[in-house]
Amino acid sequence: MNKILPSVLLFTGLIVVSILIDLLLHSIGIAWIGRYFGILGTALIITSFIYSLRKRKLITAGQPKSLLNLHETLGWLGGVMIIVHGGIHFNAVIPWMALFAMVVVIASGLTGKYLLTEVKGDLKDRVVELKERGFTPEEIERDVLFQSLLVGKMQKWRKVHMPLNAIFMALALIHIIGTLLMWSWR
Amino acid sequence: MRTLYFFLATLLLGIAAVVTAPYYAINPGVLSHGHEDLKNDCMKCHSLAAGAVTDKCLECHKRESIGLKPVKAGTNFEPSQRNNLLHRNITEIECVTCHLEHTGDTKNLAIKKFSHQIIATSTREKCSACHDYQKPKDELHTLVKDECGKCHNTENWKEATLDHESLGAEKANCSNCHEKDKPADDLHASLAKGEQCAACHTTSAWKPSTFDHTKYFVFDRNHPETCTNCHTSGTGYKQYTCYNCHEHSEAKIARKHQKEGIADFTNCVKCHRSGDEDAAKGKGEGEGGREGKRENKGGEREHEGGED
Repeated sequence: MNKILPSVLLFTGLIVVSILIDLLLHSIGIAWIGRYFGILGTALIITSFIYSLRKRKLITAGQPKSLLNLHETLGWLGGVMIIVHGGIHFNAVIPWMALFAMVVVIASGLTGKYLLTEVKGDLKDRVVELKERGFTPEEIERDVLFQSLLVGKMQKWRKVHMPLNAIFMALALIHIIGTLLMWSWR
Repeated sequence: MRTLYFFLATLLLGIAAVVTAPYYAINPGVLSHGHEDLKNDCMKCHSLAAGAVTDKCLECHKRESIGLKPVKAGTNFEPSQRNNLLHRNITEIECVTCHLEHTGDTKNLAIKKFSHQIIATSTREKCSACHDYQKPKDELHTLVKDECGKCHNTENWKEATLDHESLGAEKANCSNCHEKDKPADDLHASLAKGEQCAACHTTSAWKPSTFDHTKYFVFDRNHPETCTNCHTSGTGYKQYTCYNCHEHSEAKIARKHQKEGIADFTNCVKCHRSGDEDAAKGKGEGEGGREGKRENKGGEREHEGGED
């Protein structure tokens, strides 16, 4: 329960904070700002993908752990911005599907966060178990064993998370291009 | 690679949806009732990367017909001269400056609050181009030839400030507009028809008036400001007499003036502008300096004007 609680709280917080911001904007008559939250939210989410570039070794700067934290934080903040941007309007299918896909991706990401915590716990338990069984520290720290445990669960999760992310990105891209083409930028 | 397939598949499906049913796929809000039939024809109003452009609006909404003829026959249309003049004369701004779309199917949601500030100054100064039909038909507005902005402002129409210079030569004929404002007291009643308010009043501030009694006669201790001391006839303030006190008996005055060789002493203030006898006009100038030799000795006289 303690392991899943942070993810549940973050997801609930995402929805609650978005609703509160939307209510605030409407109550003070500046709901139109929500339009620009879309640009801000997109920029935050795109920035959060620095982690993905680092993980795939397309860039070498930055610590993966720090970039993962950045990915989670900016993804969450960008998500709030995009939900406020969408508001509770059911005007067109693609923007709403993009919004729904983004919420699913965030939920998936928080699931990944939970799984990672659980995997780390499993590893600790395994170390204790191996120590009790008289293994030497060198043997315990055999990366192969640990990595296989880690990769096993996270790999399965990634198989779901990445397609969801692809669907979200494709829908968001259509929405953005459609807006760029139809909007007056003068 | 699997992720890429998901991305491409979603992208293709989305593009197909946009092409076949753009209104359901990407429209940002419900179109107004009048534009409902254009809902899947985005490019009828939009140009790529330029939004809804005025030129496309004008293809259907001809400037000269706006407010006079409906775009589509059979619609619930109420002619409006105001709308016609507005759209014909304000040509420098884009339609979308005032009109919104995708905000719902009611007309009111599609119109922003109009502000004169969005119009170019040169257009804004020509009020009558749009508002001439609203100009009151009263005497004042008929006389004024200037643009409304000379007296009115667009923020608060009722707070007008009239510059009487706008009336041109008619400025001198106060009674054209102010006859009804003329007080019913004796002073104003005594004014002859045609005598203008401007003799005492100014257009910049009606009160206080510029009437200055010292131009006629200076008050002093023996000649106080009590009107009825001198203005006794009840026929207005132009009539006065000096013969009501013990000092100025008719016989005494006549004797005194005749002694000085002054034959015409009927209009006292012509020479005496104050109680100071020595300050009387012509005093010390000899008999030749005295004016008039008329024999008229009426006790009451009429002012001949304050200006010398």
